[in-house]
Amino acid sequence: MINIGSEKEAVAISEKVVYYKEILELRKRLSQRVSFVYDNIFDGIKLDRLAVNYTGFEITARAQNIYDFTKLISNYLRDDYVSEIVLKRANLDTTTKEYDFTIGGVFK
Amino acid sequence: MNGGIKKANNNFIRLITNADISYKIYIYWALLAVLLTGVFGIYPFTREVVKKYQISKQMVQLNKDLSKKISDISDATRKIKLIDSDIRYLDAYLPYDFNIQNYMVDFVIATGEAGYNVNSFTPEGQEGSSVRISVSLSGEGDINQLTKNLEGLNRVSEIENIALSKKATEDSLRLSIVTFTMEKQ
Repeated sequence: MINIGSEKEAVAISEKVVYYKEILELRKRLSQRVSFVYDNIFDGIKLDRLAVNYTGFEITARAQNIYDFTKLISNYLRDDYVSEIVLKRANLDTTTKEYDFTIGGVFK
Repeated sequence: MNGGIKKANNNFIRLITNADISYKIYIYWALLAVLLTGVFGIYPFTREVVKKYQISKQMVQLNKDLSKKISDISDATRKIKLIDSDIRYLDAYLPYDFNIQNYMVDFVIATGEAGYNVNSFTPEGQEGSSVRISVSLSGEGDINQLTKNLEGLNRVSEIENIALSKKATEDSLRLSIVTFTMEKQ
């Protein structure tokens, strides 16, 4: 004899789980992209501001020299993870001899 | 004695050699035979056949019912197996309930483990089956650990964007998070 109540409950749970599976498939994970952006910032770069969303990121930071700045951009373009890097602002602070810049990146 | 028997035998032979009489005898005998072995014999036979047919009919119906039951049980078994395989999803992603205040508790614990304090936690409204939450954090924690902790919570949520500002004493973060509910299910 089949327990109709249990079967209905099982079907209801199954439908909920199917719904959650659909949500999981649609869900976008940001942690990997945050790690990519944050971990590529090395000691020669002083981070002031960082913003990451699913499509891209923006960094405002300071570099001690032009080499560190170039290395940072090279790091982002190296792993085939970013399609483009845009230099939004760059300024040389003559008192501290630091390059103050803002760059934006677009994820592939 | 023998003479009497012989005489009776002769009379009987004479009687059946008479075509008219023997014809009648055969007819009555045939009718009697049909009546006894045919009518009275066919009745119990027919009765048995009818009983057997009814039993056969019942068995066919029982077989149909059993086949249907087997099909139902197979279907139920399939559904139960489906549920069994889905339990890991239930354990991994479904919270005990979907109250936003409980999510806030989970959220504070996750951010605390990553080294940040929650300054504000503001639900900005519900859109369909999701709730958008704006969060402000401060501290000197690990942003990688924070995002991993939040995405690993026992609930389906999505970090839409994260902004980190480095300050002299501590960092400040702003997050926009979408957490899903079951209300549209």
